[in-house]
Formats: sequence, structure tokens, C-alpha cells
Amino acid sequence: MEDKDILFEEERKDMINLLGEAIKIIKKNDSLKLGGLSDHIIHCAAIFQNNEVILLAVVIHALAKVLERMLYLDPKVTEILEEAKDYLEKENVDKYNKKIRELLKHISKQDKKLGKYMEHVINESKIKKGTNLYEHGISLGQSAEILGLTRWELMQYVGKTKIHDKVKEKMKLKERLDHVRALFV
Amino acid sequence: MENAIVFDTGPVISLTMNNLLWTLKELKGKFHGKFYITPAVYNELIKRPLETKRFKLEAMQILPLIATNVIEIFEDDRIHKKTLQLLDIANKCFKVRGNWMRIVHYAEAEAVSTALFLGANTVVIDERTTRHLIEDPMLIKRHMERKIHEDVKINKENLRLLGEIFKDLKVIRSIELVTVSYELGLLDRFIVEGEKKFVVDPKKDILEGALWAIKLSGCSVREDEIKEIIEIEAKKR
Repeated sequence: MEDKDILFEEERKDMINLLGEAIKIIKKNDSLKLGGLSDHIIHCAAIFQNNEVILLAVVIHALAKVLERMLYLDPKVTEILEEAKDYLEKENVDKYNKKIRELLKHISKQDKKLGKYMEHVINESKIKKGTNLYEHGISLGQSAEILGLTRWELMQYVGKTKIHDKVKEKMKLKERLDHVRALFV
Repeated sequence: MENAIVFDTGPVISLTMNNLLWTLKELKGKFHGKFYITPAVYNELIKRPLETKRFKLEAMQILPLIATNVIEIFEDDRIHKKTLQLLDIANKCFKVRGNWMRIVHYAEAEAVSTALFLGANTVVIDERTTRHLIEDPMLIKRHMERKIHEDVKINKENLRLLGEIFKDLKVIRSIELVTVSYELGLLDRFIVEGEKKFVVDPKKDILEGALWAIKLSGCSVREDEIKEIIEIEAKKR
């Protein structure tokens, strides 16, 4: 129990720093850096697998995509993020979560076209972040579960990446093939 | 001890997405044993997609194989407890910043536990982490350290336990199933007379196409392994 409290404190502090960083980057309209920050958040998400951290990674990735398309973000976005950060500093996680949800609604409501686009962006962001978790060594099933995705969705995306080409393995292909051949004589 | 092969969700998805699910029926005929999935795998493959629009058709393509017992759902109350025990060990192997990394999901652990429970020596898994956990868990540690840029501590006792638990278990992937299907001539159904007017070597192309399709659907196979399979098969011809 003591261990968990210490961890929560560490997660909270990480998230406060990350939110501060996100606000600075958004003010500079730098979509590339914002996307990079989302990738960094996924390191924490892989370790803690905490809903708040995961949602933050998805939201920041989605904001980076919107920024890339719109070239700027409504000042209200940073305002809501500042408020969310304040709540986290005051250890009020419920209100922090409400603010993040408010942020998603706010972006979607800006115009109808963006609303549809946001739905797509959020789903794409979840798939991208799920793939990142898998790349970090979390299994595909666990990554899908954390992001609320199905394995069907995640596998299709993972297959199009180079993730599986990067790790050399102990078991040789020939050994595996011989085993399978022996099964189906 | 039962002659059985237990499937995780991934390989069935890979085969379904590439219209190769029918090969399971043919392979089963040559296996002289049972093909099993677990209840959690059934949920991922069928139940959940049937509740949504996306992948509903794919789920409906798998269902006939279950209805006709090509693939059976294996259920035993004792497996749940064993799955939780396995999860407890597997998810307490690697520690980062004082936090145990939860790397494996219940459905994956249930598939492995079922294979162990049945005394089956083969489990089909397309995703990389569970496979590495069975074959070479230190790969996971090295990989994590490279990606997270943090020190990953290992639980030597749990890794030793896993080594003992998995010592007789072999992991195969859908890529090997497709390769052996090719070797058995099952993929010849795609080759008809007259094709040579359009492609020089239809047999080679069907193999290459099938292997790449499986990889692109998410099976954890490297590009150099695909090249190796193509070379092996070319030498045989």
C-alpha cells in the first residue's frame, strides 16, 4: 500500500511536468514537438498503465494531429490544460479527468467538420499509442486492453510497422518449422 | 495428456484477415488431435466483434469452424486459477521505477495455461511479448531498456519459475502454419492452368504473397525470416 502511494505521487508529478511541457509547446504551435511529447508520455504509460497517463498520451497525440492540420489551437485549449494541471497539483484527480474530457468536447465542438475529424483522430491516436505500448514490450492483448481497443484493430496497424523486424531471437526459424512439420505429417 | 494445439487470438485473426482460415480445417485433418481456443480468446475473436460493426463479418467467418468443431472451446474451472497464478508470475518479472510491469493479458495467459493444463506441447501465438516470455524473457528486458531508457530490474526467481513451467512448451506462429500449408500443397488451389501467361512462377508468388500478407496482418515475423522461408522452399523445388 505504501509502495502504491509513492508511485501515485511519482505519476502525478510526472503528469504535472508533462502538462506544463505540453502547454509551452502548444503556445509555440509546434505540432512535431507535441507529437514527440506524446511518445514520451507513453514511456510512463508503459510503466504505470494508469488510465490518466494513458488518456493524456492519447489526448496530446490527438492535439498534435489537430495542430498539424489547423496550424494553431484555440487559446481555450491551453486554458483548459492549465486548469487540469492545477487540479492535478491540488491532487484532485476527479476534476482533472473532468477537465480532460471537457477539452476533448471543446475541440470537437469547434466546428462540425472538426468534430467528425476528432472522432477519427482520437481512435487513430489510441491505435498509435497502443502500438507504442506493444513496441515497449507490453503484449498485444494487454496493450489493446489498456487503450480499450480490440486485438483486431491493433494487429492491423502493428503489421504495417517495422516493430517486428527489430529484434533478433534465440529460436531459429528452421527449428520452429521442423516442429510444425512434425505436427502435420 | 491430450494431443492438442491451443491457439491465441492473433493467429486466428491473421488467417481470417487473409482468407486462409480454411487451411485450419485441412491441417486439423492431418493433425490427429484437437485445435482449441479458450473462452477469453473466443470473446476477443467472436463475442466482442459481434457487438460492433467493425470485424463482425470476420467473426462470422470464424464461427462456422467453431460450430463444426474444427476449433473447440476448452473450458475447465481449474484453468482460471492457473491463469491467475501464471499472470502473477509473468507480470512480476520486470520492474521499472519500483513498479512491476504488467506485460501479459489474461487471454494470452489463459491460452498458455490451457496448453500447460492439457499437457500440449504447442501453442500458437503471433504476438511477440508472450512468445518471448516463453522462449527467452531476457529479450523483453533488453528491449524494454532500449525503449524506455530506464533500468529494468528482473525477478530472478520468477524467471526461473517460468523457465521451469515453459520448458516443454513450443510456440509456433501463423507464419509457420501457412508455410507448412504450402508444403502440403494446400495453397495450390490458387494456382490454375493458364496463370503462367500472367506470372512467371505462380507457386513462388503464392507463397511470397501469403507470407507477406500474414506479416502485414500483425504476425511477429521478421522480413529476413520470410526471405529464409522463400529460399528454403525454392531449394526444395
